[in-house]
Amino acid sequence: MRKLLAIITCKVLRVVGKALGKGSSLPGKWALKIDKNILSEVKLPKYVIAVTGSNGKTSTVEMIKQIMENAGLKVAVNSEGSNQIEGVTTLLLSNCNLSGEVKADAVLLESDERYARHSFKHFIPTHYVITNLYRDQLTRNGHHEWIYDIIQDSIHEGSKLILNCDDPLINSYATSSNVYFGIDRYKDSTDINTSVYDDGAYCPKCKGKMRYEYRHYNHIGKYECTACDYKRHEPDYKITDVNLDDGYLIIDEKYRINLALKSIYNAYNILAAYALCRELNIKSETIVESLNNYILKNGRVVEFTINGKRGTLLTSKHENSISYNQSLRVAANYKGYVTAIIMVDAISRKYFTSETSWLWDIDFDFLGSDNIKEVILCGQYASDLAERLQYAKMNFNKVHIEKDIPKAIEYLGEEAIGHIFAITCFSDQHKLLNRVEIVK
Amino acid sequence: MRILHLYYDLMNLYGDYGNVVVLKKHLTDQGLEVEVDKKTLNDEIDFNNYDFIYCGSGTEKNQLIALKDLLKRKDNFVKATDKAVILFTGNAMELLGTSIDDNEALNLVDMKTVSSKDRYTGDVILNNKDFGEVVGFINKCTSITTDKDNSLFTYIFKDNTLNDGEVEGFRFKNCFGTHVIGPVLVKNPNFMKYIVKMFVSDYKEIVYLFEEDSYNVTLKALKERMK
Repeated sequence: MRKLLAIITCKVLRVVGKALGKGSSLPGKWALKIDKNILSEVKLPKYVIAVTGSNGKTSTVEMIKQIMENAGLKVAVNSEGSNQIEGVTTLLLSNCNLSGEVKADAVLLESDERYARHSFKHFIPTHYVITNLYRDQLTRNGHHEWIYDIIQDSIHEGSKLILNCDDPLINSYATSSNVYFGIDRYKDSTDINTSVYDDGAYCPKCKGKMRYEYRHYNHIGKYECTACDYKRHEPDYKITDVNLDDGYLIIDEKYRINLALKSIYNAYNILAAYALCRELNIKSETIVESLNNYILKNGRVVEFTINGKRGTLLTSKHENSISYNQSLRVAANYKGYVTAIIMVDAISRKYFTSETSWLWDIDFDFLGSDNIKEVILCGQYASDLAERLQYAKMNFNKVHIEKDIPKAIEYLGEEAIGHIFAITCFSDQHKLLNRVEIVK
Repeated sequence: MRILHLYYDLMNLYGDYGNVVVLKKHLTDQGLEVEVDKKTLNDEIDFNNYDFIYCGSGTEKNQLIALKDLLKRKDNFVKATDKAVILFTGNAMELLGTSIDDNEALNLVDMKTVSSKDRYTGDVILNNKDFGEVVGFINKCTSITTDKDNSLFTYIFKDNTLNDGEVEGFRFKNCFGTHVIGPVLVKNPNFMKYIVKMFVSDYKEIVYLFEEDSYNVTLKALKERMK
């Protein structure tokens, strides 16, 4: 009876909430109040897929959904931001009938690294994809090893793990069923660490010195410990070639996917989606067809114009150096002149903090690329950015500092040379988007 | 003038290396010739060759690895405290106390560290009687019991998620310890100047606009929150 009441309450609140444009956590919260065990009582479909990790969750989930739907499966998926237990409850109950049976072939969950352990007390995923562990929002997360332990608490026997073996920490998770994905050496791989810090310097198991055969970026690559037997697992699914200039990748020497977003980080998201979908026995051909030239719809990349000049917003995460590197790399590799505008105004959407140490972990040397003609810094923390950039390998004369955002954007419209790349966070991006023409 | 960046690859979790590169610039601007050595586990090190020794934050695992390595060099390190200026930030400061949980530490200062399963994080404003207000962020999972007389700072503001009492950090001779993470010297021109002056007899006044402004913006933002 409680179960029925919880389901009905959740469904009603969801419908009302949607009409009012409210978020998805409240209905689940009430359902949990009525029946705290409701998550254990619903009958889940054959596949319960969860995706967690520091970066790439949203994009990977979006691509998995696309593939599964193209394969004719009905998927219930949580939208961005509802990956805490209340959001998960809302998702499951809105998609189940009154006897508590989820009416879909699969449930697909983007799971927050810190909250997954709470949801997976009540049910466990059949397939659990773990993408990577980076320095991410350290004001809340502490550090990557701290989050490693928290994710460990969400892993249970009975889940098949789909793991990025190129990340030394992720490579060490295990149940009795593990599948690995990784990327072979390609043209842009390096022999040494090219970042300002190195989270791959020491073995996660014994803290002995690690040796890398190659790296794709930061600590991501092929490695082995020089002191113990810890090393990268041989991948079950691998990208055997990537060409970011021409924009394609090859999976398992056979399947070519053309890239709408030419980045190695995107290649990992595609590979994660591929590996997972292969484990669901979806044909490679269906996956390739679904992802070929696939343009992400999650709003991380927004095209705009200002004063007739073309620009691209690359939504990055403040407090996440690899996310920034990802955007800086796009600007540095662009074939043509570039003006980059970087905005740090509100460091976090939810929490107030003035912590800017993370700026020192970003590889701003990318701005030294010859094609980048001008760099505009704006927002409350423009001086923190300017201080950091003084120590990057770049010509500081091309830096223009204007704290005031409207003035900085006006300057951008007047002075920008070449293509504009705007690099900022969800917490700040509207301050730009409100002042430019968005290209639909 | 020789700077040692100790455990540069192991204890560098929050952009801490920024302290070393910016300090070097400031000292160079004062006319000193500065050499920076980066050393780590098992490297040959004589601490007495250095005028300034810096160590930053690490993961809890890395901190214990650093502790083990540093203990092997204890006598040499303790001797260096007679002459060198030393700055240990973040959880590196815990290395210089009496113990970290069950592990014996360097015992330079009377300070016991006990770790927990929770993290204590937040923005802070601290005050030092010699160089004034310092802003920063603390990110740790430990509680400290310490000798109040040795403290480096008193708290002016801290997020309520932080567990400390009224004082923070320590000073023993010219050995400074603080739980504040990251480029604390870069973010705090007054602290930087205080350190630089320890090496320069005829200090030239140089204004570093970005550093000044970055400090003022944060100090203002945090003082707003005190209201």
